[in-house]
Amino acid sequence: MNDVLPDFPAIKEERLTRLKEQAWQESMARHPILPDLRSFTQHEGDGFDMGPGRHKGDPSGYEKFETTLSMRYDELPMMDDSRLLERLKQMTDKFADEQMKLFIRRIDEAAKAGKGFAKAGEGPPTEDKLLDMIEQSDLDFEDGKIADGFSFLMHPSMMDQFKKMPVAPDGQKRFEQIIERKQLEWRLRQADRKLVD
Amino acid sequence: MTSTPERGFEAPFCQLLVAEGHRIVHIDSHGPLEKGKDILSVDAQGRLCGFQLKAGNVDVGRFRSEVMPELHELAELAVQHPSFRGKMCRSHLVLTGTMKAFALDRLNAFNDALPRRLSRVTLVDRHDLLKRFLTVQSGLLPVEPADFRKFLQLVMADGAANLDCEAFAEFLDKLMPTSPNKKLRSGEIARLMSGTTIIASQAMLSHVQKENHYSVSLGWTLTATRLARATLQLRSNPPAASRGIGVAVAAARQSLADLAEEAVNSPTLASGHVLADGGDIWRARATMLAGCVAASRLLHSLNNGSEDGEEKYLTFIDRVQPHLLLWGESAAPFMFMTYWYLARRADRLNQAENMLTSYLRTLAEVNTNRRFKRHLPSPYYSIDDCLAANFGQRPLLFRRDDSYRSSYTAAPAVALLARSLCRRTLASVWPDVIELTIYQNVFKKASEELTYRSPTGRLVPSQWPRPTSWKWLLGHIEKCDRNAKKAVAKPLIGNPSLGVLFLLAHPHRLSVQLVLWLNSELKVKAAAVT
Repeated sequence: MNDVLPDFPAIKEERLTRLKEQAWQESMARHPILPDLRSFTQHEGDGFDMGPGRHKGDPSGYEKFETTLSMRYDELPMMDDSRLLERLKQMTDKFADEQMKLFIRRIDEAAKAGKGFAKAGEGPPTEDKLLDMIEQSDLDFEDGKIADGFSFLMHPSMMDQFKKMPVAPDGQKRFEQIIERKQLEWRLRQADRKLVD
Repeated sequence: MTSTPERGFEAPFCQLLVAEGHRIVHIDSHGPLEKGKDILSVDAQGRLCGFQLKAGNVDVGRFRSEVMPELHELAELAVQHPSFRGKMCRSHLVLTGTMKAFALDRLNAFNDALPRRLSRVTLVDRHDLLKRFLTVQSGLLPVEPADFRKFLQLVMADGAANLDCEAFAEFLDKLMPTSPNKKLRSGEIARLMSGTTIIASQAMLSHVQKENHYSVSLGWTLTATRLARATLQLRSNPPAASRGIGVAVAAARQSLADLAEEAVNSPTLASGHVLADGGDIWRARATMLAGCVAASRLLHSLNNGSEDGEEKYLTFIDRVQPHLLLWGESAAPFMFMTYWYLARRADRLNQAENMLTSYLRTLAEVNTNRRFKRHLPSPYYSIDDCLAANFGQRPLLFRRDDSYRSSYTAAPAVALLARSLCRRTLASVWPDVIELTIYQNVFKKASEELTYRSPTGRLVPSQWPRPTSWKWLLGHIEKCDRNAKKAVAKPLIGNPSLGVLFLLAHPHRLSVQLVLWLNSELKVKAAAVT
């Protein structure tokens, strides 16, 4: 049995929980899409399935992330909340980065495996390519407009190219047609939401 | 209790012996006087008894390798204690577990082989212990659901955390007979007191099992203080009470000594979950440890211990001093202990005075200045309360209890510095100190000072005269010093060791009179050292 020096386990636990949460929130803010992702805690068991129906994913289980946090004993006297937060952020930043990489990898895998895949081909992005991407998506609507939660994720280097993208002459017309079709699909999906004989 | 380590079981077992009429002569496992006898006592019939304590079960292998050599010393070697040197004692092997059948055979063979002039070794195992403990505490365990819940909360508390002193003291106060109106025979008082100490040892069980020496020391100090208070209130001092106090004080002292050794030998001073252990948590622990190490050495000196080998303790205090944390006025006892320990050595006097001045300066500056968002909480707020508030986890219990322009512990610090004739130092901090309203509790009965929270008594605010003359201050402190012995509770006066321990466990009882009395007790000893 190890001897214990005077200690404050409950206070330390609460302190660490609060700082870890703060560090996690700040790290998530570096990747604005991460907070929008569904997340849940698995309270029992050791494996999971992504869920039924169209969201069915890879049932192989979790992907393990590991990182290290180092602290020297001689740093303890000076390790106040701001310094500890900084140290924890180094850890949560790595987790957030890894989670983001995994997210992109999973999207890529799922898109390639299913229909939601638009081939960008070579060359800069064009309006047609953008509309192809929208075409591949399931859209939800609210008050006749695209509902919140539909977003594009792109590499920052692509952003400038999208801004300079040439506008196709019939682009607006094609966009309206796609939206009209998507709205119809959405209505059909909504119509399915009933208990039938 | 059967799962406690050997060291943690010593004090409860001694309390059991006291309850059965023994007088404890010596508790010394691993000491030079041991010779197989962890505890030496004289029983109710005047017979000298030696006890060898072993934790857990004993099988043949353990009997042969560990127990047998100790039994030889226990049964065959004479007592080394100066009061009984050369005498043989009745030998007892006490197990918190049981002895397996084959090991029993070996014990019987050992006894049979002993010469007739020597006493056979009597086995006391967990079944015997259980019976004896239950007999002593019969009728004392709380039966009301609320009280029993409090007992369970203490028993099942996180042993690594600090003992909840207020809850512990309140629980013991309910067990202890303290009303003089209730006519109790002396024998009944003794039984109740003994039973209470046994239950107290059970209530601090989780801390004993974790070897949380600081909390165990607090637990035994609170137990000794409650016993002392009961003797005052009942105007009865049966031998069991003074023996119980003696055992409790010895156990508290031993725990503090164990903590001091652990502290000076720890290269990191880290404990528990290290990730959240830094900053104020570490600094608070360092402050507590400095005070506890100092208190342990002061107790060692009060009990005529050798003054050699102090260097490692002084080095430890030097190591942590730059990091001391003043979390509130409940830090005062640790600061005062460190001051006394250093001040006893001529070459450390300046360091001691600087440390105490720094305490007073910070206290006065923070508590008289509006630019500080929070003022230092009064000594009624424990270190756990203060740290939780500092980390924003919970507000202090009484949000409106603002310590702005007030203090309970500034006056005792001023008294010590004035006693050391630190006129220039005091002059430098006086512009802030004079702004403080000084609070002190005045109790109608001396026994109330020994409570953890007293329902009676008055809180008396006072202020220093403006301007304060040095001559007046010296005269005032001199007067307080002369009255100190009358003002301090009698059981403490007769037992300075309990006084030191009492202060560590009751930071809100720190008063000018108490520190002046302790100052003189500790300085008397210091004169011979320096």
